[in-house]
Amino acid sequence: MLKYFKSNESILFFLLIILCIFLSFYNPQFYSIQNINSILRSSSTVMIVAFGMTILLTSGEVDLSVGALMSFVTVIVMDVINISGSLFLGFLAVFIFCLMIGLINGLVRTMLNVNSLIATLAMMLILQGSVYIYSMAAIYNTHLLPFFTFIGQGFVFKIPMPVIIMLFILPFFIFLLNYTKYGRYFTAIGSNPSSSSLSGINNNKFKILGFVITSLLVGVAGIILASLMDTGQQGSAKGFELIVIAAVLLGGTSFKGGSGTVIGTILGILILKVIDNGIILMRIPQEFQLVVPGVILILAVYFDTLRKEKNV
Amino acid sequence: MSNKFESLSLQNIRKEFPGVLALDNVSLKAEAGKVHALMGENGAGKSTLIKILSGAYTKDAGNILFNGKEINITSPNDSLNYGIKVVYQEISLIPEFTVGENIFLEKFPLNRLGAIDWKKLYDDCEKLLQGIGFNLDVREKVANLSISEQQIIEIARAIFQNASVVVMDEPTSSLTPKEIDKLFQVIERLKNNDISIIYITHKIDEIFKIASDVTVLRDGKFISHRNINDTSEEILIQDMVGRKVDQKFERPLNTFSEVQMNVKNLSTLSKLDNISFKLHRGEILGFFGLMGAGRTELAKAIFGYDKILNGKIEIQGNVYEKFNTQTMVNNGIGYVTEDRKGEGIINDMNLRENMSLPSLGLFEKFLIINKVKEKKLANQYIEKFEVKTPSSERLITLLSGGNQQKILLSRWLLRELKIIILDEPTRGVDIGAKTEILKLINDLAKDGLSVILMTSEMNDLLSLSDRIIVMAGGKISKEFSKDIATQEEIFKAAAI
Repeated sequence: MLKYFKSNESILFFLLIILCIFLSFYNPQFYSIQNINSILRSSSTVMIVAFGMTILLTSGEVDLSVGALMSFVTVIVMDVINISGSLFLGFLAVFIFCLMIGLINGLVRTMLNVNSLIATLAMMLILQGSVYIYSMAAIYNTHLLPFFTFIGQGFVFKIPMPVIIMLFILPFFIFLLNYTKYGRYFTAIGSNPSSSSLSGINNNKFKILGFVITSLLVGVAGIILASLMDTGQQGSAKGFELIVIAAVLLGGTSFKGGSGTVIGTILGILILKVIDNGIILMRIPQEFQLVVPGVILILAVYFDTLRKEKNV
Repeated sequence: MSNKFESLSLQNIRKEFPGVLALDNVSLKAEAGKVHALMGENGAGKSTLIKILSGAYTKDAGNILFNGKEINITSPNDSLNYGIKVVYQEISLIPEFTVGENIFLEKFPLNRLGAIDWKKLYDDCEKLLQGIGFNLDVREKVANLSISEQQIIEIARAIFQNASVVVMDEPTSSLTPKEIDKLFQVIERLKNNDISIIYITHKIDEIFKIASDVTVLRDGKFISHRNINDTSEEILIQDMVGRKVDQKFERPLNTFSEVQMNVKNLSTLSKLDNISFKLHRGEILGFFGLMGAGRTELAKAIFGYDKILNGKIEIQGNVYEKFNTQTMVNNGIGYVTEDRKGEGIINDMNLRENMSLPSLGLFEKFLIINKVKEKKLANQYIEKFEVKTPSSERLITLLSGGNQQKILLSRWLLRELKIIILDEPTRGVDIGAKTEILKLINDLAKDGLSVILMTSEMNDLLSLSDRIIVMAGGKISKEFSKDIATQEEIFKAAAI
């Protein structure tokens, strides 16, 4: 595993260890299985979406609509399973919907040439509004299928299911970004789009792919969230996109594109989540749950810029 | 600046950049009420000289005399204080502001309350424009004006305070003949106001209309200063290009028969107008053109980077009307850009990754890139081209321009290639690397690669090309075979 570490990642890793040591001295409860499981479980949905966001940011794009889409997914999956009684149909509906949204995001970005910050902000608004057109009220679990509840709330060998799902997806992205040509293409497109196009790479194709992958991952995360809440709720993942983007940036991916790693993203998420947890354990007012990560993000990006300036 | 402006002279100016002597002993004298033309090929040193005048660069040696007294220009501010104003090729007005706002941008007239005195601003503006013989609604948004009108506003902005010398850099490059006439009328007015104009252009005929003196630079050296009445088009071209062609490369004498690529009636929205040519196997086809002739646009259109409006390209029997860069790369075409930093290297990647980018398929097995194989091939090319680097894993940004260029050439040469398009392959490259690159091009062509060589270096062009196509204004203006091409003829064909 160590060989994927770049200098930025070792700093994050070090920071994470220090945080954990500090918290376990402060409150031994930190090391309880329940606590660690809760950190990991709440991290896993963020991680799943962040894998896609890492690809997007690496290729110089961003998707602000992931939170709104995730909320929408909880509503769709709950509703379709309630009506049909079939998990398969519920999941199918989710993935078709996500595929469509990802495609639209990608096409608006590439064919209409709208900046992705604006294109996906618009998509966010559209989804936030249209979810209420779909259903005004929250949708409760009336199908009571046990496997559905298991997805978000179950355990296998004492490990929460969402973590297991995340671990199933993770190797695929490590593989994609480190071992295949696609990883190179995403970096090239984000670092210097003209150069990659002049090397015969179809930038638009890969950008669309990035948006589609991200949306599909949101589908997975949305199903987990619906299972955890046992409800399909219109605003359930509001603000989720900001946590994802903050974590990916903290993990060393550049907002300008060109550099990013999955391991860095994972470390970024764990640091944010451990800080979250620490704020609760230390009985600091909960409002700081947003303040501290905000400050850390600014510092992290600042140090990253400093490091890069030194290198160049 | 209270005393009246009489003359500004540059004497024996010298400027050196690392590895390049940009200006060597250059002199020029601009006198009040006269237009002094400054001519030379791309890279002759004109812009460096202007940048020294405007304070963007500082000279290494030589004197600048203002009305005969030595002055020091160490910053743009110094230059402005002496009334030296440069009007650049690119328009730098704010489109959403009015004519008046743009002209007085740096110094809005204020009323007693400290707010902008709009009435005074527009009155002054009207007076100023009338002074140079130009009538225009000063409250009009700049975005609604034609290019030539915008250019004249640039000039007005330059002279609204105490201008002594106005430098115009290729002012007519994007103007229509009618607009040029208008500009010349404004220049006449400036002359009457005892302003001196340094006029940079490629267009020889313009000089005979407005200039009284011509200075020619070549390769950073002062070549000649002539009175307009003592010179002719022929003499000026001779001055600009008249260097000896050295470094003859031995090119095979055989005639080329096998057509590799056939470009038919290619046009683009931006520039190109009905371009047709054939490229043969093993041939080096040189393209020459002055700034704005459309060479780079042609390269990018052929390569599928810029959309084409009309026309088609035939490559070994396949006809393409709609294509992108991927199509062309798959057809065995490579393109090395003139803009190495902006469109060539990928900063976040090392040498190996930069080299293998278009050819990752070569190293792929079951989707996985074989990095050992990739590294081996990268090292092979690093060795072959003597790239100065400790390893293939070094970031490309840490290399010199010449070495980066070798990496970009390797990017294409490590794959199976039929045609390579080289856009200014030796720009910003030191002499040693330059010779190596030229020799490499020659060797590649001998092995059957077809080369499109776009260059402003007359020397490289004449010594390597089997055929030379000269472009001007987005069109092919003339084609020369190797044995009849001369520097003078080529330049004449380019400068229309």
